[in-house]
Amino acid sequence: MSKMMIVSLREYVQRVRSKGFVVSTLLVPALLAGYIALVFYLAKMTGSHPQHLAVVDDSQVTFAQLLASSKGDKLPDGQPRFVFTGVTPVAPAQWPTLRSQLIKDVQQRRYEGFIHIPADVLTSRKVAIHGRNVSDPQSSYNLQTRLQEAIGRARLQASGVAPDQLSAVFAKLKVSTFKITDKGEISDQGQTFILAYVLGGLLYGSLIAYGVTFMRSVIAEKMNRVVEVILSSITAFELMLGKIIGVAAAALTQSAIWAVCLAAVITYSAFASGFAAHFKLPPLGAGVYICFVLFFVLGFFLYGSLYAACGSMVGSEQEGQQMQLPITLLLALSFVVSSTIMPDPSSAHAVLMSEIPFFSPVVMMMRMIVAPPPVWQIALSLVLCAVTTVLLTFITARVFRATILLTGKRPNLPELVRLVRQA
Amino acid sequence: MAEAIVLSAVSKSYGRKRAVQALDLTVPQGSVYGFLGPNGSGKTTTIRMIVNILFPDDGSVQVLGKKAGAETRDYIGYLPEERGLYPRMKVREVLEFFGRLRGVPSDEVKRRVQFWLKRIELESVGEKKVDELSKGMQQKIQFVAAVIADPPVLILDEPSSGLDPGNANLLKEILLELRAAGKTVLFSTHRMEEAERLCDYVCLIHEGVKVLDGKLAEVRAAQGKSAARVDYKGDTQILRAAPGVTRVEDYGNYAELRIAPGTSAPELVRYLSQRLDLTRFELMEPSLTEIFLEKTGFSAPQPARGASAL
Repeated sequence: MSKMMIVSLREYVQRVRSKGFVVSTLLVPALLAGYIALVFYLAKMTGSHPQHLAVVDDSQVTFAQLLASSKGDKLPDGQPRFVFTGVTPVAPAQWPTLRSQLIKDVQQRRYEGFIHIPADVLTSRKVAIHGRNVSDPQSSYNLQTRLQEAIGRARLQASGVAPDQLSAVFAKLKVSTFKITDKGEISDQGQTFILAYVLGGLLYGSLIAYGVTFMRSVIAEKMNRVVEVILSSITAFELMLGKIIGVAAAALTQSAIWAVCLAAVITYSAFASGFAAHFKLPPLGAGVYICFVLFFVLGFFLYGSLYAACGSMVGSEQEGQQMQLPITLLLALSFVVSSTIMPDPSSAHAVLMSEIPFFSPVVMMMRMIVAPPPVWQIALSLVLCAVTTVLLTFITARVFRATILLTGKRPNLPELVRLVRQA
Repeated sequence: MAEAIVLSAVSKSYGRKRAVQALDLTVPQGSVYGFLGPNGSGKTTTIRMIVNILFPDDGSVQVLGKKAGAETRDYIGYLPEERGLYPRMKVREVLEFFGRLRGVPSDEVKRRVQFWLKRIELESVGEKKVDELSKGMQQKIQFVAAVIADPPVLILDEPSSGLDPGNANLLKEILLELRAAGKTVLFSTHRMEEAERLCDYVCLIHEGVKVLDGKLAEVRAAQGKSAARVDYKGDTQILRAAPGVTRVEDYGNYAELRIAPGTSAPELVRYLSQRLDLTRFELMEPSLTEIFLEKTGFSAPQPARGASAL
């Protein structure tokens, strides 16, 4: 076994056996599941009870249509979304009295609000909604849709359309979405979007989390002087590379465990059964998974060597925290960029961003899932990323070499350049 | 005798600070070589150049006849000045790691770890984490990490730091065994008593420049019987004022004097006994401590430290 592999093996074994690894491997999926469950729960909670509304229908024809139009509008638990109570209209002179009575009713929680439909609604198309919460966009949108439909029905009925035809006209539209790829069509309800974010996020999250812990381990080795003993056996380049390989292998192990968990959850879990019915994994080619591993490894070498150089330069973890910020921001930018390309993953902007080596691991990965780019673009971005990684690893290895034994003051830029040229 | 380590005109600077200047050094094979100098004199820099983790600006370093580089790394076992062990790893794992890193096969390395833990009287700590051990124990583990691959040359930077007299003695025994087995040992120290007890050769550097080197006996003999040990009661000022006395190191219970060439010893004894309660006067070669203090320009006596049994 080469000396570099001995370093890698130690790094890998120590990392995988550490409490932190075990805890994060178990905890992250648990937290994620909890988070998703919470989001589902909250989504269910909002508007999960029927809204009681009083309706004063001066037009005489709209109320019945409103009931008809909201008949099929159910909450996820099967209860109706709206419950309308008709209030007998009054002469305009009495309206202010009725109005204050209704306001009082709302204040006393008898109703959540009331709707006043004027007599000339069919021509004026004006309706007033009074309620405690009229600014919630989702429920006002639902209510407006119902009213719109009710008035439409009333108008059509006034012009002599038979009631059974009315239902046919306003029957609910069923929309299916189909994704077109180079291989043909597959049905898609947004799973590819979610999958792109999951894989992209996994890559990005691993790079950030492992990049920073990697940097801290470099600092720790520098601080406790192990590095001095190791460098008397191997070169700085071998040490840095060996460590990156070990860390990348540990990160891949963790990601693989998570991926298997996720697949198991989606396939079998009772919790996800409702969810899974909608969420069939889009059939991605093996190429996507191969590229995922390739970009994962390249990303680790690219950012790992930057974090290593950063760690070798500083004298304490606090200093390291400040120094690593630009690297972490660069990494974060790749995730920000990827969200800007999602709406139009084949635009010139998206192509450009996915070819920039510092962004390509995350951005190209997400493009590949959402809208597979031409093979040459994938190949080019892999090659560019690999070339940059190799160049950068050589440069950062020299920085690492030059600064890892320095203690005390952090070198400034001219000193660093001199050191690197000497190393 | 062949040379284990040869430094020729080696210089190293950090920025404007010159850490080592045109240093020549020859360490014969099979010797115990003391590398002496005050704190900050360039000892550690020199040692790091020998183990090839620093590169000289000028001059050359040879180990067992080969230019220092990837190849010579495996000839040297290295104990750095500051402890360098993974604190969260088990002692056995750390030692196996360092052995493997030096190319020892994995079953052989297991056997050697057992052997050495027994030899340093720490058989029971193999499964303990490094940071659970005392500093002295860690220092012994660090020593094993240096010898685990059975290298022909050992470079030890302040090996006895943190060791109590008993353990320092154990280390001395092991070093003498290693010398008997034909290994070359170079160690640095700023404790002269330690060097005096153990070394065949010494080299003293000060501010990056070699002050003297050679066989310990010759270094001392070169100074002639130009020193005297005096046991006395009375005023130290009388010693300082005595004719022919050039330096006085007062150790409390006794003092060491340097005497100018040509001074008559009987006359000095007479002079001192008239003025002090003199119980002993012994002419001798100056101790290494005395030479060290003189050459490095320390005028104040350096109090002898407690843990210095090596």
